[in-house]
Amino acid sequence: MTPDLAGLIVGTLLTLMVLSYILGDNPFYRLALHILVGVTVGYGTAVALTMLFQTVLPALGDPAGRLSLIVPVVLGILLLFKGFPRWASWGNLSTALLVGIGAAVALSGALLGTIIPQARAVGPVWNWLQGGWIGLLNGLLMAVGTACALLAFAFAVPRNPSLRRLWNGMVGLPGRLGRVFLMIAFGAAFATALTASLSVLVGRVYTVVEGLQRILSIWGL
Amino acid sequence: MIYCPKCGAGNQDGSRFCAKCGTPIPTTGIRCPVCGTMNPLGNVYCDRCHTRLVPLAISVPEEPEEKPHPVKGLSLPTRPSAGEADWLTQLRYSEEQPAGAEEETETPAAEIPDWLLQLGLVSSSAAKPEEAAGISPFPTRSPEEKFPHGPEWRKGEAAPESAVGEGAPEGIPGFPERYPSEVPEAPPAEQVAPVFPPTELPDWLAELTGVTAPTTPSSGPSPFTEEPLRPAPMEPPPFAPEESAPSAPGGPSVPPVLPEWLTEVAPPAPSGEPEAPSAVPPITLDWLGEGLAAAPPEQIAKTVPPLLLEEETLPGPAPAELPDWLLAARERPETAPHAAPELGGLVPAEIPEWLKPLRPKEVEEAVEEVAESEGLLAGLRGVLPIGRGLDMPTTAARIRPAGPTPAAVARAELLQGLLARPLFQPPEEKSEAPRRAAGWTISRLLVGILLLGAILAPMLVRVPFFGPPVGSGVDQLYAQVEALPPKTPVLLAWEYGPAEAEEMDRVAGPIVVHLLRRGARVLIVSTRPEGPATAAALLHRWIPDSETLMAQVVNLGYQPGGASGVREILSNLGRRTEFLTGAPAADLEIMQGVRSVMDVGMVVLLTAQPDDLRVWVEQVATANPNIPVGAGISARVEPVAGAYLGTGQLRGLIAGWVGGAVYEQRLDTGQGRVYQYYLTSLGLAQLAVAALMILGAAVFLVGGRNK
Repeated sequence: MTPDLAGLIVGTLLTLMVLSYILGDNPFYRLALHILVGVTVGYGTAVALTMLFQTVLPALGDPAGRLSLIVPVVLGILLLFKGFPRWASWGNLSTALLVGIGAAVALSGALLGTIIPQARAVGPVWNWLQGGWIGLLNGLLMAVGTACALLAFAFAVPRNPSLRRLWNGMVGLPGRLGRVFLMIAFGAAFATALTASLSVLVGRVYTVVEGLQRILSIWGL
Repeated sequence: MIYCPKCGAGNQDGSRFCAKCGTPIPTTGIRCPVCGTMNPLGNVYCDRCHTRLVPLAISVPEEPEEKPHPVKGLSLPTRPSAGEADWLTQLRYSEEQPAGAEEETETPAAEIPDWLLQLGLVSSSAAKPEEAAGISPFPTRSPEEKFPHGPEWRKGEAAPESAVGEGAPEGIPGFPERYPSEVPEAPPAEQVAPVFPPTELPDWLAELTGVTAPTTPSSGPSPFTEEPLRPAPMEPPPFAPEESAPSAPGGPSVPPVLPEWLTEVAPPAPSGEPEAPSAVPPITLDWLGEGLAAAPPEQIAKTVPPLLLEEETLPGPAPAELPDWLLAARERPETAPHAAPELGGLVPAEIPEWLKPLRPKEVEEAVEEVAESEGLLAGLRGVLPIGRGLDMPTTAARIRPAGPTPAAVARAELLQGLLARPLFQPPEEKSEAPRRAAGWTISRLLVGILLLGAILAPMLVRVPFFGPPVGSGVDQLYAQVEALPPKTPVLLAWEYGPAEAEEMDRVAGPIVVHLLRRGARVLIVSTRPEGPATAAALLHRWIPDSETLMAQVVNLGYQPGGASGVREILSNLGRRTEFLTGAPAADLEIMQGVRSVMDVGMVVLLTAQPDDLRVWVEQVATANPNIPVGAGISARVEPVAGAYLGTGQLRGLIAGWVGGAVYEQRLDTGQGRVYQYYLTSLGLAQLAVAALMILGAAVFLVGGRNK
């Protein structure tokens, strides 16, 4: 039995065990679930250790790379103190460094990679006309949908009754329209997620069929 | 020491103003017998200690003979004389012992006659009417005991002797033990011999009174020394004439006739005849005045005290007109011998104001005095009033407590409920899970069978429902890969794991094959731990030629850190190591000339999560905005990727199996039939799910809303 065949048989059995959930909670489903979680964590740990031994430790042997790794190693050791409540404060510096750098990188990336390009892509109104009526409709939908979706999250109301009526007139109807846009967006997201899940299911079903064919072929059936 | 009535500060005797607050100190008033404070006239209670200043009543002892007072007899003031006997001198001095006698008043002597001054002193120091009657209007304890904080002059003062022991009720400790030696026991009334036998009175006095004044005591020891004194009779106060009888000016100028009661206490008249030698000095009549008999009536009225004048001029007031207390005093024949006061230069004067409040009240009022009816002080009258702070209305309405308010009841119930709740809720016994209805399991089984049939149907029957797949962006990505020059480094971000491999392998496979066909150098990196292994598995299945694989593909492994990890990958590609062998990337031939993303000709993102796509797009746009980026993504990421595709940040896109099938048709890798099966199965499964959703919504809308 080749490793591929063994993997195919084990995969088939685990898939059937997971699909047994359609009959309700059962030990087979739980066993498959535990195996999945355990293997995932074990594999992640193995990958992390492999990276550590392949990247960090060889660098410590190099005098040139040792200096560059002193600060990361010290920060990493300090980060280990987070596991002990008594000395958890020792890891605050490492945590602050990680959070600060991560926030800065994410913020700069969001600003330069998403917000500005997306705002620039919307462009002026005359750019919408370049696509004809469809382009204009698309642009209007994007603009109106974005504004209404933002107004849908306006929950504050002025205390002044007159201002409250004005606010309800300006925000109430657009807010309801924004909720419609949000429902459409959520529906689309659900549909795509369902499609991805069905794709996985179809792939698993084909894998099981293939595995059964292999098993039956082995038995001469 | 005089205490200020306002601030209570002590001032020297004779002060007219308080040395502390400047308040005028009343020089004429009533001195409190307890604390010594001078109170204005008219005060009933002391301003400082609230002691009653004016006795409520004077009651005559009903049975004075049965309870003789050991008070030494004394009535009128006497003038000491050189020939006075020692026993009489001691007796007089003893009567003047009560403290405060000299401080009773500060009225100048010029305003008050000497005799009246002495009378006032004696009357204040001698046995008081109420004391003689057995009533103790003031505390009977010594000042040191009862008023330790009193003035200094009172601390050394002896306790009043007036009938303390007799008048004190039973049960009060200290009285019998304190004054047994000072108060001799009085003999019975019938054993007391008359002091002045009638036969010894002078003739002039005998004519006036009808009794004989004693001139010489009987032989033997003096009755004052051998026998205890009888209780002192009530001394006629100076205001007695006003109350007893109206004055009668212009009466006949006859020699004044002393009343009978006065003759008893009057000294023997100087008869000029030698008396028999006696131990008792003769009582002179100097106090009556020598020229009294010869004076005109007007002068007599001015000089003689009203008391004597009235007694002499009036035919004689009936005994019934006198107050009872005065009559009782008159009926006592056994009085101590007195020295006759000197009446020289006396003029009738009115009773000073300070003396009027001391006037005893009528007996009827005394009857109204409420005596203590219970307790240790039962039967005692004139007790000190209770402090004002303790005064309470006797008829105060009883306050009925109001019922609790509803809010209070609610709070109480809430608190009671909280207290009744156990601190630790015992774990409930696990009951068997409610068995679901058989219809629920059957319905799930039917759904499963329906989906499984939809998926396997393409294997069994030909389903002509679905035409060739159409995907947006696939052609753009295909063209972008076709435009790559040979051996162009292409960074392949492998951001999916085994869980998404069923879908993503059908997306990533065609792209990898196309890149390898184009001769590109594929650099695989990942920010997910399972990414490199998933990539290795796919490459093993899709690229059987290991030589080609080793020449064009390098797996640079996993980089943690999320966005920071992506930034690290893009910045330091040349410093990474190979995933399987651990060899430094810089040593690999495929990595020649590649140090960062700037040296890469294209970036292809293979991800099944929207966040991974966003992070990669953003970081690549930040690191090198001009580098073309393509993506092979899951179907669920398509809505997010569409936005980047519209902005040009993504040059091409393969979304899900549909996109993979389209790309596979363009690439023709021999997997077209499999893609067809997959897409048909996927389409049928979607239809089945849509049918189930519509059916469920219909059931919900028709009748299952309340379930």
